[in-house]
Amino acid sequence: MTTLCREGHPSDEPDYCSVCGAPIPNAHAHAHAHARVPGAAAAMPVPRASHANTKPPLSSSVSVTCPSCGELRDDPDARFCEVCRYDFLERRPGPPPVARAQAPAAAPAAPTAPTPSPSASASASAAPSPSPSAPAGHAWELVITVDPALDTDPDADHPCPSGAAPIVVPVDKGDLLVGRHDDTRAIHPEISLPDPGASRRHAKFVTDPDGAVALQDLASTNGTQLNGKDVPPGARQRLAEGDSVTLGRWTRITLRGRA
Amino acid sequence: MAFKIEAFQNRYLAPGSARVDAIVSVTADPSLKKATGDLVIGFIVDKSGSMANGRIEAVQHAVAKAITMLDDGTWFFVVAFDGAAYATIRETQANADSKRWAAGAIAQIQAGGGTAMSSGLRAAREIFERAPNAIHRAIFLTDGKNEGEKIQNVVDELQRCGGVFECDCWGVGTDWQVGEVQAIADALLGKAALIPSPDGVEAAFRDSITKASGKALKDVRFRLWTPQGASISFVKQVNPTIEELTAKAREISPQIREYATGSWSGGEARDFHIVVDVKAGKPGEEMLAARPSVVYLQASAGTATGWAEVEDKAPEARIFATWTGDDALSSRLDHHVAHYTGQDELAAAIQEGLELREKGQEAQATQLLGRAVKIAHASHNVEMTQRLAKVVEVLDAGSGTVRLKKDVKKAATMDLQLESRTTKRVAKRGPSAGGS
Repeated sequence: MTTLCREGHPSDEPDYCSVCGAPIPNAHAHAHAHARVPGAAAAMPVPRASHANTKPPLSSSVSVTCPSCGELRDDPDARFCEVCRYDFLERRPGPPPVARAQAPAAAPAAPTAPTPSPSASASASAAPSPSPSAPAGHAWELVITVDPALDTDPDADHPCPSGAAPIVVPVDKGDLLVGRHDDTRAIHPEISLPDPGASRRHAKFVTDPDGAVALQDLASTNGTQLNGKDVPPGARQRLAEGDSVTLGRWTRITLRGRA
Repeated sequence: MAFKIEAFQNRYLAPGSARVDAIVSVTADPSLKKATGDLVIGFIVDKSGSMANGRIEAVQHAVAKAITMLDDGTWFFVVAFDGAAYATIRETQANADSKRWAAGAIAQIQAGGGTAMSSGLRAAREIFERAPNAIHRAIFLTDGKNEGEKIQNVVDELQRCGGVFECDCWGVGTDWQVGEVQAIADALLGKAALIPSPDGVEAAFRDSITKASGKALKDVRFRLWTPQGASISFVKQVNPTIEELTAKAREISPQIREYATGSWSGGEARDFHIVVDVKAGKPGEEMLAARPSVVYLQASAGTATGWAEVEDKAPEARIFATWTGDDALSSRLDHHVAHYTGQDELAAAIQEGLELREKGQEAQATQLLGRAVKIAHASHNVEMTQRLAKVVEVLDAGSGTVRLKKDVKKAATMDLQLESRTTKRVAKRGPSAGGS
């Protein structure tokens, strides 16, 4: 199939012109959405058959996915894509947050920075009506441990702080951000990690309407592993009891049911 | 998809800039099936007079041992050469029987005669050509200079062998020429390395056999599409070893070039550094600067040759250019690009430093080898730091302060020169490098 690019070249490729490399406007968002995060569609909360009248919480149409990375746009009012920082207002690919914060001009914009405000994320996860079959009252918690075995390439400047007691965090919010705390960039993760290999906005744990907990890597620098396997950035991976998430140099986070 | 292909870059360019730098990481699926019955492994061993006094026995033992390690069904042969070549064992399929009698045949080889490497290469090529559809890997071993013929003979023969078989080369002892052996490995997509003493031959051959036996895909080529009006400044393999590929490009169409990388095993990984010059854009503009893919032959029962050509593409492999007026974005250097630029500089500093040391220009040699120590230390390249420490006395690795050692073993210098192109992969990133 050939499509025309904005320069009028016939292109064999659906995303960028196979002649001049220019983005192909319409096919673009679509191709991205499918190509970049193949896991996104599968990981999307799907209503159970017994609740046919429950609307899918998020439509899969192009309008609510980020045209740059294909991430589902949870909050229609958010200016930036959660995963790749695409600017929905200016319609341009977003700068990585680190560089953005270094630009002096970005400082006044800090209050509108892409960190999801608690109210925005709360409303996003509350929007779909909770499924009646959700394990009522089933509560989860995350056990955060330092695992020296993960630090395969030790760095003398940043020795692994072994021997620390595990930290237990209840999953009591729709969204739990995991990352490195940074005051200057106004990044205050709910789960703050003293791990130099973790990104500032590394990943988040999201509670789906049916009560299940999902993991989403926020396009972190060094990636996130679920039970030892790399997870694609942006895609939501539903977790089960005992699943182990590893990230950074030595952090292991295990999901367990709360007694 | 047999390959995972991923690009690392800083896509942001300042207005007017036109140069796009990226590292493309290619990894073969670890679960690929070995080509066993479609694999021919050839041993090409030097039997010249200098191999007497224990060396030939060590090689005979190592070849026999290596053959016992072959997967049943793999094809093998042994060529011994001096001034001429002798097919000690013609192409044979490995099984319990052939493994047993091979040892006896190899024991018949007697050291004697001169050294004409082209004769050994030619004999191997002729055997490989009898099985044109198989994957062809050779293991070459010598211990001396190529004295029995004109250099041009080897150059011409390597031209004929290129594309027919791949070859890892080993030199035993220190009486051989790094340049001669490296040239064979370079032309035949292999690696050249040193075996300090005959008792190391067995381990060296074991490594080569393990590497060769896993081969699964044939004729793997790194393919690069670039937009009209763009030009490829360079393409280099940067891991596991640095291999200059720019001049080896094969033009498929005006916008598509391919770079041969030989056969691959499951799980094998290589990194490539590419630099493309595109037409400069204005802030806010975005374009695709290159589309890397991997083309290869995969075993297929339905075709006449038993192989079918496949191209693997991945959206993660795309290389972009986005122009921005924000200097904070465009001035960042991607850490993969920075890492391999450093490893390349490390290799160059070692090679030049050793050359100058050879010429007696000690002050400049000290400076370059000191620089090498500094980069090796900063990039946590422990293996290279250890190799350098056999040639220079390291006073302070952090600042690259060194002193040339007085009596350096020849093997240490040769080994450093041969391994200078072996790079370290990118380590996980710490906070000093930034991070998001």
